[in-house]
Amino acid sequence: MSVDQRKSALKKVYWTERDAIGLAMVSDSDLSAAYVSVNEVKTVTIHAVKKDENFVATTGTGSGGIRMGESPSIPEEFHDALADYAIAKGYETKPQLLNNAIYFKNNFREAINEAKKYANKGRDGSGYHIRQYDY
Amino acid sequence: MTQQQLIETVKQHHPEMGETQIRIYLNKALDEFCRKTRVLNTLYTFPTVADQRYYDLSDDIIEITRVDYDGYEIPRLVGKPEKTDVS
Repeated sequence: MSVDQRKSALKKVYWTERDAIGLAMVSDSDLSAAYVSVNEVKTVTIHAVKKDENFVATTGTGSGGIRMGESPSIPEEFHDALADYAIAKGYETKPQLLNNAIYFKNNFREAINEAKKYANKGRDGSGYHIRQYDY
Repeated sequence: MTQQQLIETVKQHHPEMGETQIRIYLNKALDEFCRKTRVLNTLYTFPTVADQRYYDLSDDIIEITRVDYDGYEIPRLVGKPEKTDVS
């Protein structure tokens, strides 16, 4: 890549608004604004944290959700946690078995804590760091 | 575990619960799990269109961690441009 390409790219900024990403570039010629819309065709790559697809009632394989015979994309070791959540919800409707609800909800929370470590740990075995963020 | 296996696991504790209800709970669990752990990462690529300012984001995105323009990381603007362009 040329130096000009690098210089041009580094004049761009992004922000998010109304479920969309905005792209603009530093204005060199238009003195009425600090940023103007991008006027060229280039490739943009968004690195993102994403949700998994939803479970759907369909059988077989294909796109459009996690079908009956398919598994979620989260690591296999955390699949149990999804059942724990549903089991806890079921016990919440049975007042005499509320302790069971607490037990399974705690299992789900523990899995979340383990998965946070998993997500922040390098696959080369390097130490993990916890990013700060609001809940 | 497949969805079928997850449903059967739940039914061992709650045989009276319907599959639709179980699926609702599994979807809530999966959403909460992904949102809180940020364990799934991905890349989305698209070409810019001349003079277009906004591009719709996929509903799957929880958080943008980085944006590359023409192969280079670009900064996030604090706030929004003062001159509005809704294109």
